[in-house]
Amino acid sequence: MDPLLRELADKQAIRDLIYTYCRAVDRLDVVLGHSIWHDDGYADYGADYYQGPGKGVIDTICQHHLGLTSHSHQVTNVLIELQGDDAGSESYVSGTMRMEREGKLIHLGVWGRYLDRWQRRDGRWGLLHRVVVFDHEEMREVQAMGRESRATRDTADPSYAVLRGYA
Amino acid sequence: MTEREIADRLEITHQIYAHCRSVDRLDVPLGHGVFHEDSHAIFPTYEGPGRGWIDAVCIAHLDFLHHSHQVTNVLIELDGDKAGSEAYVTAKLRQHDGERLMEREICARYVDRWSRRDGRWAIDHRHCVVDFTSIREVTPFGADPTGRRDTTDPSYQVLKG
Repeated sequence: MDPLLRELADKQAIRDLIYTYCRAVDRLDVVLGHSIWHDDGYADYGADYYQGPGKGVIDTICQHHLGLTSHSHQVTNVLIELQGDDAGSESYVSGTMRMEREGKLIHLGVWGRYLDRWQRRDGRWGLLHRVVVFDHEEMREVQAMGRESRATRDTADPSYAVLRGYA
Repeated sequence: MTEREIADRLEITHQIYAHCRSVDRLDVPLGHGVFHEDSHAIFPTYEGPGRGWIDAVCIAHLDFLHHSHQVTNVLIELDGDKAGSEAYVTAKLRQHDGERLMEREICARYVDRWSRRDGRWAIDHRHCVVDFTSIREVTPFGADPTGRRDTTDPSYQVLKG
């Protein structure tokens, strides 16, 4: 393969995995979330949240998300540096979470960055090491516009009709 | 991933962004180009032909002062001349309510089916799935917006669209 095309394809594959992570934790799709990690991957989301096996952080987050009413993890500014079968990346994330507490609708906003190390094994990119850096956050009461949502946090969500989702 | 697949993904991503540009600049012809003629669109306030959505939203947006649709996390799965995609979108719309300046925020996902016809990718089916919304009073911090909702917007100097 032409080196430039190889580079484009590798970067695209890594971006897909970063987005797939968001899709997994937003739809509570544990199997999909596990698929982005290598078996020996390590996740460091801070000592007060989670430090341990990469796949385990998917289990923890999906469990915690059950206590929320909805959430959306949005990634921008994905910078990737390739070095053969290894790669490093930084991506900005803004995570928005909603919950109901004592009859009030509470909005949690978190801005951070995923600092990742990737490796290609048997032709497949996977996540080897993730450190999450939190830059700032907010919590406030919000008022919904009042529209009905058709989103669900399982495979009944309409997105499963257009994406198979498993690499 | 072949050269063709990389190009297809870029073209579909470009169309997703073009939709945002269309509805933010009220550029109806640009928006029509994102949808095939026989396409279908499902939005919270609209269900019908894809191109009809562009007509409807460009009128509905006249009720607002400014709006910005920002897309992230574009996931695309190709299958020959067909494709499926999910893209996160955050839309912010500003509107006066008496003296107060209100901002609506909609956090949603564009769930799309695509086909390539005569070498051109466009949407066959779009379902805008809303995750959550909010409305609140906001305080601008000064600078007058320089964006325009027609072809006098500075972006038309750099993009033919």
